[in-house]
Amino acid sequence: MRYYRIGGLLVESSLALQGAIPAPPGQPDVVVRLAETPRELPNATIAGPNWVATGDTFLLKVPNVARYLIVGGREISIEVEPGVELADAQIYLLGTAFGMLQHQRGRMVLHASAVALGDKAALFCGPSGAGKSTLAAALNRRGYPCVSDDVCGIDFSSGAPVVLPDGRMLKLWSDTVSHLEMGERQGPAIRQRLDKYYIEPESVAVDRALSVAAVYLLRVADPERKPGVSRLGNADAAVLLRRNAYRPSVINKIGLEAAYLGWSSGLQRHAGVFSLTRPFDLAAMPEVIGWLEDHWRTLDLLPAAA
Amino acid sequence: MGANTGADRITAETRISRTGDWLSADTGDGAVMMSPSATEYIGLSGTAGRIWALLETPRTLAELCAALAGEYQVTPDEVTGDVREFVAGLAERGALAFA
Repeated sequence: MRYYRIGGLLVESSLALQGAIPAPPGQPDVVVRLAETPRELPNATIAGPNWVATGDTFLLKVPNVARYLIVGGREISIEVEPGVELADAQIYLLGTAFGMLQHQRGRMVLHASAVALGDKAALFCGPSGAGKSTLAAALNRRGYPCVSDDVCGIDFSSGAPVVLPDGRMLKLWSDTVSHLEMGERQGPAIRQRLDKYYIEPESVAVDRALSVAAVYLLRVADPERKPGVSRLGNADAAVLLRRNAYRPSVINKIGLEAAYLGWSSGLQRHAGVFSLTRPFDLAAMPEVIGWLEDHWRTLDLLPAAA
Repeated sequence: MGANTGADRITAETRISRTGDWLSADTGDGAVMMSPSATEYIGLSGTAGRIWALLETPRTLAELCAALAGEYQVTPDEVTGDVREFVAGLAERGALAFA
């Protein structure tokens, strides 16, 4: 058996999880197994294009890859289609399957990366390709530990939002890798057909939960959207956070809209929800990081500039 | 504007209550509301958020305006027009009901 820390949970897995951070053995919160998995759920009450769900059971069916049965926030069974590489099957395990598992555990799950600012965290939301991992990698090089990449589980059980450390390796496209001079740390390609690589973060905050201090929605600057950081209005924040749920189409069907309304207002109450509008250009990264650090100083998350 | 929700139909004695169809959540500086179909959101800040919070308990327009006037140190007459328009707008969307 292998053990990993994913979304703050100790995961015992019968298969190696490329990109997840190994953890010492212990009493697992979640068990992952390769096992025979049903093709349908007989009592399914809700369904999407490639999933069905009932009660606390969610069946994800990825055609020509694998089926994933996620039960009670504690178990994931995977049946891989013949001829499919395990490395391909685990992309959906670490993404959608663990996202659904965290929902089953009553957490908000955002499509976001996060970095640590001392004992607090800043999150960056956006759809695939919005630049979340690239920004997290650049902040990581600037000295901010990486908390999570791509999927961010947020726990409200003690009232204030807490992000659970993930430690999953950053996923970056190879042109970004060379620009950020992280080439020497390239891991195996995530998928044969995608030129995207896992990068081991330089420093990973895996051992403690962090209070969420700020959430940024990534936007690309254009003539109508001025670059910079601004606080989102109450309705915009609620809409955009729900749109950045992992995955919006699923949460709408499984009746989590009300939960997301409560969670997004909790993020506004305890943290702050902002837009970060910037040029979609790696050359602008130092400037963007400068805006963020100025913003963190105004929020007292960093010491004031000398 | 619907016949039963128009601002001009709201008198000082009109009783205003939440319908319960819209969900709302406290954002610290106000509130955010979500429509029953979860397709429409309304953000309420400042006095708008305060009015919504006060309507957790049904009140007449006169009682609502008196409560606000006390908190914001103005006269009820100064706020009545704006409050009437605001509650009429929320009633039009099905978030408030009048009796």
